[in-house]
Amino acid sequence: MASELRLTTLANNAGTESVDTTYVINGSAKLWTSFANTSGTPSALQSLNQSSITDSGSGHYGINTTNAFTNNEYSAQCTSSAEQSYGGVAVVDLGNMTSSQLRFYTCENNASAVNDFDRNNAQAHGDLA
Amino acid sequence: MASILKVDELRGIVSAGDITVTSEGGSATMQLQQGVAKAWFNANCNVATYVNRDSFNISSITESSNGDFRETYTNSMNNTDYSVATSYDLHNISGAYNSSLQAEEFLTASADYRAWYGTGGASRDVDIACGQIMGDLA
Repeated sequence: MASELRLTTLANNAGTESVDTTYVINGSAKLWTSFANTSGTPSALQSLNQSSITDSGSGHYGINTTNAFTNNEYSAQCTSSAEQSYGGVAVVDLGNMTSSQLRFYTCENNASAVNDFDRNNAQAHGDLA
Repeated sequence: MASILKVDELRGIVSAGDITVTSEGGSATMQLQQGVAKAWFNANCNVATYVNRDSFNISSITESSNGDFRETYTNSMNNTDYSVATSYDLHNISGAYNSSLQAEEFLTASADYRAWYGTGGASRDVDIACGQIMGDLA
């Protein structure tokens, strides 16, 4: 049987550590994903609240949510691994983010060219609708 | 009225690893465990022996070469498909360009990171390296 607890603070039994439940709820990631792209097509590995991945061209991705955020002002972070002889940068595409899609792109460190990377990660914190 | 729940362990009733929380807007629910970071670190990688300033579920940091290091988990991840978000700061080191801290090797017991910089395809020591790990614990 499902049950619901409404409380303001969580603490350990000794009372030496506690956290206001607002930090638990607001501090939890609402979206995260890990996916590979070694063949030109994103391949989902593991995720939370991800319904699908949109391949918007080489190195450009849209992470579609199962449950949308209340707006497009959530906090997003992303990283990618090229596993090449150079590093890379993953950039949150803030201008094109929506409440239901986190967008980012990956570019090479040595040439600034937008390109597919082998392994890609993104996480987001904010309010779900 | 404020309420405090004092416990050392939270478990779901139907499934021990599944506790549902309601979204801020009230129209969605999500699994509490899935949204909680399983490990994080803030490391000083610009000293003779790399050290974590602060961390959670990290047992050790080991340097392999300049800007190349391993963070080992106290409790291992369930698989190698977890998600990592990172950042680093060169702290205005002259002649260097900030790039990215890449998670390059995902293992259940650890992950390897490399701090790339500039345009020459090299890695180097960095003042601050941070990472957050989301996924399933074993």
